Amino acid sequence: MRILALLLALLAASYLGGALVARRGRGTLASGAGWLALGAVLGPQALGLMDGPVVAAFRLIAAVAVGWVALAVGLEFGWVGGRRIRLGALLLGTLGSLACGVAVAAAVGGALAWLEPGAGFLARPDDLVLALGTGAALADTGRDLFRWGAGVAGARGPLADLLAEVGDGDDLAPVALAAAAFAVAPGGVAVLAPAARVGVEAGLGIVLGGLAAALLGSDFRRNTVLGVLFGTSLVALGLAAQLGLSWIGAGFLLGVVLSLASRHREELRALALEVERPVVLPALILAGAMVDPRAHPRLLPLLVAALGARLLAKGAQGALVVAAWPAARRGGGVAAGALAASGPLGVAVGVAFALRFPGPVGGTVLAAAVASALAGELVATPSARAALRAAGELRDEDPPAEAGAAQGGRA
Amino acid sequence: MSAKGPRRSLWVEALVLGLLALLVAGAERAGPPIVAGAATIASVGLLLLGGTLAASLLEGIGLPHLTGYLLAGAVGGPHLLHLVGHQAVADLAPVNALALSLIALAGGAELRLEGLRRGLRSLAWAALLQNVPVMLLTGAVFAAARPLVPFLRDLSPGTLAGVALLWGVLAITRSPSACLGVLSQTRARGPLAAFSVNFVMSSDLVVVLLLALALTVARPLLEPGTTFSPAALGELGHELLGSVSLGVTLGLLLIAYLRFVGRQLLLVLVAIGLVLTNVIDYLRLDWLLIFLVAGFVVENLSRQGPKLLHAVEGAGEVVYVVFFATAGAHLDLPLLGSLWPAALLLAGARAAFTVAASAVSTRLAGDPPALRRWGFAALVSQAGLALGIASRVADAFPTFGPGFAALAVAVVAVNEIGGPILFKIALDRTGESQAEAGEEAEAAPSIT
Repeated sequence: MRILALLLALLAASYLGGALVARRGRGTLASGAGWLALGAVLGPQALGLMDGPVVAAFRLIAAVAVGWVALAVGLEFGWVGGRRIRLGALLLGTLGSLACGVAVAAAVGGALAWLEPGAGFLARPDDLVLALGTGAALADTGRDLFRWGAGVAGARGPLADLLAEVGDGDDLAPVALAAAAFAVAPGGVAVLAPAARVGVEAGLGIVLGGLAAALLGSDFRRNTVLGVLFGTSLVALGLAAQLGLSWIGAGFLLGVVLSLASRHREELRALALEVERPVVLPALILAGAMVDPRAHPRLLPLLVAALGARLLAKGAQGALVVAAWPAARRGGGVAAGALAASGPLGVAVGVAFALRFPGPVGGTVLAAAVASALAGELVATPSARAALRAAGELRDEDPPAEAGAAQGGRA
Repeated sequence: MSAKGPRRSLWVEALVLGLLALLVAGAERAGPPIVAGAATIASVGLLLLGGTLAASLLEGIGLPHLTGYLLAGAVGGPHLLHLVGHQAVADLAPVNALALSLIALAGGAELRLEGLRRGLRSLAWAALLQNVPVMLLTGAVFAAARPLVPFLRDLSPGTLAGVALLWGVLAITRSPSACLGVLSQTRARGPLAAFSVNFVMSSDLVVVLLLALALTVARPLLEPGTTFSPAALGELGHELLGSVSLGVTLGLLLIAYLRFVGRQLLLVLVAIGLVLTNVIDYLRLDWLLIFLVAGFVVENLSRQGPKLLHAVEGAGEVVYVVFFATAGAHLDLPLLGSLWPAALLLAGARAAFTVAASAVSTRLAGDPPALRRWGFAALVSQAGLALGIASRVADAFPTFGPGFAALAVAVVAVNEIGGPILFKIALDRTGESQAEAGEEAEAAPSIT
């Protein structure tokens, strides 16, 4: 009874995950790395408790989770914790993540050209999709680490604010890179040029966002809101997937337009965050289970190139932040390492690619996203903690366990 | 969340839904989906939106949300506008099973021993009069309706009696999901709400027993050459005992989890629902009963019941919208159009016998006036259980089974649409409804 074993494993995992996150100052699972690792352990490559049919059964849930993450990110774009992100931080975040995504894409493209002589630099369509997809998955700085820092570790102050703003304000670049990758991919609405495909995708998100805002205009009860939000995000997701467009982009724009057009944006953001927890966890477990070390014959060197490029790009961005912001200087050079944090958006991009491009392309992008989340856990979490402590902003070293539980679920 | 506000205008909602329907239909015509399951995802979205908006509109005229969900599914489903295709409806089966398992779990947790003890007299009289007498009387009307039902005309008297017996069993099924759905919306508290939930939940067990008995008795009538065989009763015993055992085990596991962990509860429930609904089919157990028992155990053997209910209710209307909109998509309205005289007669007879049985049982039990007047209201709705029996009969008896199932679908359509409306009216009239339109937002539990 493999499926019963899976059930028991999930129950045990739920306990362990909750317990780990609640342990103050030790295990930190802000990126969801624990759930990814759990999926990898349960998946076909390790214990085999989640085999092919089980993974296939969970795909629908994973797709829904990706759509919801995109919607939530769009709803929050430009905002952090109920306040607007400063323009400088928004620009720094966006340009930094764009540079990081492009650097990763270039590194992957270079590695492919080097590993397979004669292939040329991103000359094959699949190579271009793979490079852009990996760039999209590894471009952003995960917002969750800094929320976790504020919620669990009790970090308060200018550096904590700045890191949260940069982490929250850099989501446009991965969305744009993912849209570009979907647009240049073979298949889909092939009659349209790549730019037109992006236009259709943007139009879809904008129209659905406007319609959702119209529906929520005057009747803003919780049940109605949930139905409308889930309904429109699923329609966006389904239509984009039907046409081969990026549902990350469609969902993101839906969220942005809804946030701009609705006078209930604060409540919508709160609700989106609240729902994200139960929706995203299964997707994280599935993402871990779907990782296949044999997805691409050159997977390891590609991952090394991608992660190396990301660490360098994030390091450079961090150095710029430290140099330009007095608040960051108080945290010391180690603050730069905090920007290597990765989170659900990167994993969502990875899952979207794995579902849209099953095989070497999707498998590599997903593996890179998962590896980035795990690496971010190792690098960014201790860096952030050290920087915040150096800046004197880590006030609560012994927070109540309940806070840990609450935040841990955000994963 | 803010609460009351001016009602959205009808045309805005109709326009939005129309645009979305056009988008979905246009995308389907653009070619085969690039990602497997894309059409299903879009269909679920459309059902959610349509159901939510229809419920919101119908609420204005006092109708329950369920009616809106059902109508959205029926209109957008494969039998009318075909915005949601047959394949999408079939693909939604696991989601539907998951929704129903959560509803059953909540239903079990609503059954409190104390309440059952207090209402034992009412429940006993109702069980006595609402089951066997209604089954036999409705079966008799079914046999008498022979001229209106094409597949009955050529049957011998013995076979007709056997088929009528099966119809009688189908007639005494009720809809736990509809009952809980209306109670979830109205947050009703009082004798009618308590009696309804207790009776409808426990009657599932009675129906399972009577179905097995009826099949055993009817088989020699329906299949000449076969003899009375009590073996089916042994299988029933295995099914019931196995279901109760697994339900108790699941309930105890849930108590331990709630007591010692308590986190990510909705996620754990979803995992359990997805996994068990697959396993239970394999084991040939009654999964509705398993989840009912599990909820009952959690509520009555621990203090964790409110936590469980809170988590299940956290999924809010989304669970109900998906479940009932999909049920609506199954409703074959064109078929109802062709079988409507027989369907109306049978639905009307069933309702009349239910009302009469309620009048007698509540009087004998000395129930309060609200129950005497409206005790039948929750018993009219029918849904999945009735369709499940019809499908089982269709599989077991190929000669008349398909016709039987088609007529059952038509009758269930009438009861499925009319039943929740009746129950909502009863709760409103007796003053047991707690939540009016705007209050629901404030009372709604957290999603986590």
